[in-house]
Amino acid sequence: MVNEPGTILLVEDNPDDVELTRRALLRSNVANRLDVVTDGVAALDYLFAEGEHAGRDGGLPEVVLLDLKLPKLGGLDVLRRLRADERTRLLPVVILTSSDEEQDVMDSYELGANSYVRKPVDFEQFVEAARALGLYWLVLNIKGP
Amino acid sequence: MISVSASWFGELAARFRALRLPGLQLTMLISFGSLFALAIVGLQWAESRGVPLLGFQGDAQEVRTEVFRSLGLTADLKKERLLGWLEGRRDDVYVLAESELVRRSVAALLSSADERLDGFPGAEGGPDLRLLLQHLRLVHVSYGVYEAIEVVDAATGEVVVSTAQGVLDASAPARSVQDTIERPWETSMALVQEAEAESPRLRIARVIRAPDAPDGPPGEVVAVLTALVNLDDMILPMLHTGGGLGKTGEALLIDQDVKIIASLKFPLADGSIAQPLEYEIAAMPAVLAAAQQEGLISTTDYRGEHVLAAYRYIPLTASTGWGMVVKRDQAEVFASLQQRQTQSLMLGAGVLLAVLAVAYLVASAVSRPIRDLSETVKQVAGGDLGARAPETGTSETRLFATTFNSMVEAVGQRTSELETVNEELKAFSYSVSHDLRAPLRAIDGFSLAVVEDYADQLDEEGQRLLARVRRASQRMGNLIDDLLKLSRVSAVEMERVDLDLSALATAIIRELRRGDPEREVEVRVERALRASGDRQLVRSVLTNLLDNAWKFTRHAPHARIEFGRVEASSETVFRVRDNGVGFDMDYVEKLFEPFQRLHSVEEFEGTGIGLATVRRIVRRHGGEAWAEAAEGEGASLFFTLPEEDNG
Repeated sequence: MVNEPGTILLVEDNPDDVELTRRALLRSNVANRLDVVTDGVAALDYLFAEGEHAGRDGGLPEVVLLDLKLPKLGGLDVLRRLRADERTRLLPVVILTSSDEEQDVMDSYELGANSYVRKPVDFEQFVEAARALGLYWLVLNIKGP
Repeated sequence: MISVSASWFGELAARFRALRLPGLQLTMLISFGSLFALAIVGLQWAESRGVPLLGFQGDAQEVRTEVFRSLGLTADLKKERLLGWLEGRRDDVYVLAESELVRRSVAALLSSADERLDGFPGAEGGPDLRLLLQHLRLVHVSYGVYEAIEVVDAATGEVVVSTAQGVLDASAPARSVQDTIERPWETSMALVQEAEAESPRLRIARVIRAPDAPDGPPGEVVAVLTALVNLDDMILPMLHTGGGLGKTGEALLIDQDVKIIASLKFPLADGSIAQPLEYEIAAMPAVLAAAQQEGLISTTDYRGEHVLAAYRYIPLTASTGWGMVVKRDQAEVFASLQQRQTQSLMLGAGVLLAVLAVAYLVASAVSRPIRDLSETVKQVAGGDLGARAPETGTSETRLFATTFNSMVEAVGQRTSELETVNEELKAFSYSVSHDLRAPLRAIDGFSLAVVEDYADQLDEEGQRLLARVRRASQRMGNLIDDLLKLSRVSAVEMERVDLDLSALATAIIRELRRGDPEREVEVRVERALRASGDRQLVRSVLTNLLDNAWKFTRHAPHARIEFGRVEASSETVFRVRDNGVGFDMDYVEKLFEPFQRLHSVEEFEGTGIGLATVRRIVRRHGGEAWAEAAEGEGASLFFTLPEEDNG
C-alpha cells in the first residue's frame, strides 16, 4: 500500500475520451491506477465514500481529472462541493475539458481548481499534456497534509 | 391687414418656439415676474407723463395746495393780529402823549427844577409828578403789556419819570429819542436792545408837547413818551399760538435788515442758536418779506430744510416794517403721502411675491410631469426597462407619457427576445466548443491508435490514409476554434484604452520569428503608432494581419513586411504591407468573408477566418478595414481606429 502509486480519479462521461485519456496516460508512462466515474454525483459519492461507493476502501486519489460538462452535476458544481468540504479542500483537482471559454477558465480557477487543461484534438498533443500532468501532479508536487 | 398681422404673429410665435429656454419652471417664473415688473414700470411711466393712474402725483399737488392755503391763512391771521396789536400800542402811546393831563404835568414837571429833583426815586415829589406817575402806572398795570412807560426830557435825553420801579435813578442812561423828535407827527416804533444778554424791546414813542396856548400854535416839544414792550413776552406767544402748523411749523419775524427779531424755534444748520437782532437770515422767504413782498414759496429755510412758506410784510410806520415768514417742513407735509407710497410699494412687492408664488406653483405643476418623464427616460436609458412614466399633468404630457410607456414596453419585449436569442447562441457556441470537438478527438486519437497498435498489419497506403483522416479532423478542430473566436469578437465586452500599436506589432513579430526561426524576413514597424481600442481585440487584428503577411511572403526571395501609417484626409489609416503573393483584386471582397480563401490549403494553411475577424473587430471600434493588392506583387491591408467610440 505504501509503495503503490496513488490513484487517479477521472470524471468523464464520454467513453471515447475515457479510453483516449487512459491511453494518453499510459503512453506518457503514468502507471497509476485510474478510477473512472461518469457523472458529478458519482464523483462526489466516490470521493466521500457515499452512495454506490459507500464503504469504498483506499482513501482519496492523488489527483482528480474533472471534465466540466457532465451529466447530473456539472464539473464546476463538483469542484465547489469539494472545496467546501474539509476533507477535500486541498485535494488536487485538474480541469480536463474541451472548452476554452474564458468564462469557464475564470470560474474554475476562482472555485479553486489547481490546473486547467484543454483537451487538444491532436492526440499527440494530448499525450504531451498528459505527460506534463503526470510529471507535475504525481512526481514533482509535494502533497499537503 | 388681418392676414398680414396673423402671419407676423405666426412668425413671432415660431421664433419663440425656436428659443432655447432655461427650463419650464424658470421660464414661467421669469415671464410672470417680468410681466408684472413691466406693468409696474408702465404705470409709473404713465404717471410721470401726467396720467394719474396711481394718484400719488395728484395727491402731492393737492397736499401742497392745501398746506399753502393753510400757511397763507395763518400768515394773514397772524399779520392781522400783529398789526391790530401794534395799532393798539400806538394808540396807547398816542392817547397818553396827547392827553392834557400828561402834557400839563410834564410841562410843569420840567419847568420846576426842585420838584424834578425831588421826584426821584420815589413818588414823594410834588403834586404834578405824583399825578403823572399815578396816571402812567395805572396804564402800565392795567394794560399789563408794558415793561415800562417813561417820560424822557427832550432836551437832555434824561428819563424824568418811569413806571419801572427800581430801574431808573438819576444816573439812568440818557435815552436816544432824537428820531422821535425829528418826526413829531407820528408815533415811532423801533427795536432796541439795552444790554447784550437781554432780549430786544419794542420801543413805542411819541413826543409830548407843552399845553397849547389858547387859540395859538401847538405847544413846543418838551419831552418824549416811550413805552417798552418785551418782545419775547408779548409778541412770540402771538407768533406761536394758533396751531395747525404741525410739529415743524414756525412763524418768524425779521426786521428790515433781515435780522431775526425773536428767537428761532430751531438751531441753525451748524447747531448754534441764532441771536436776535444779530443773525441775518439769507433764506428766500425772509429776504422777500423784508423787501415788502408777500406770497407763497417752496424753498429751503435757514436750516437748509425743504419747506413750504408764506411770507408777509408788516408795516410799522410809513417807512419801516418787519417781515414775517410762516413755514412748515416739506418732510412733515409729505410724510403721510410717503407713507402711503411706501405702503403701496410694499403692496406691490407683496403682489409680486404672490405672482411669483403662483407662477412657481403653476410652473411646478406643469414641469413636474416632464421632469418625472425625463427621470423615467434616464432610468430606461440606464437599463431599467421596468420603469414607467407616471401618466399625469397636462394632456400633452399624459399623451407623451403614454406613448413613451408603450415604446418602453416594445423595447422591453424586443430586448428580452434578443436576450433569449443571445442566450441560445451562447449555449450553441458552448456546445460547439465542447461537443463538436470530442468526436474529432476520438477520430484523431483512435486513428493514431490504429497506426501505432497495428503498424505491422498496415501497408504504407493504409498508414497514409489514416494520416489524412487525422489531418482532416485536426483541421476541423482548427475551423471550430476559429469560428468560436469570430463569434466571440461580437460578444466580448470592449474596454477602450490608449494603445501603443508599434509595441504590440513588435511583440507579435517577435513571436512569429520564434515560431519560425529559419525564415529571414525584413520587418519595419513605424515608431509611436498610437490608437485607442480594446487591447485584446486590437492585438487580435494585428496578429491576424501580421500572421497573413508572414505566411504569404513565405516564397518571396527577399520577404519584407511593413507596419506604418498612411496620412489620409482626416483620420489616421494604418497599413500592413508585404511583398508576398498578393491576390487578384477581383476577389477583394471575398477576402473579408468567413471561410473564404483565395489559396488552396496545400499552398497556404489557414481557415479563412482571419480577415473576417479583423473587419468585425475594426467595425466594432467604429473603423473600417480594406485591402489593395496585385497578384504576385504583395498586398496592403488597411484599417482605421477612430478616437470616438461609435458603437
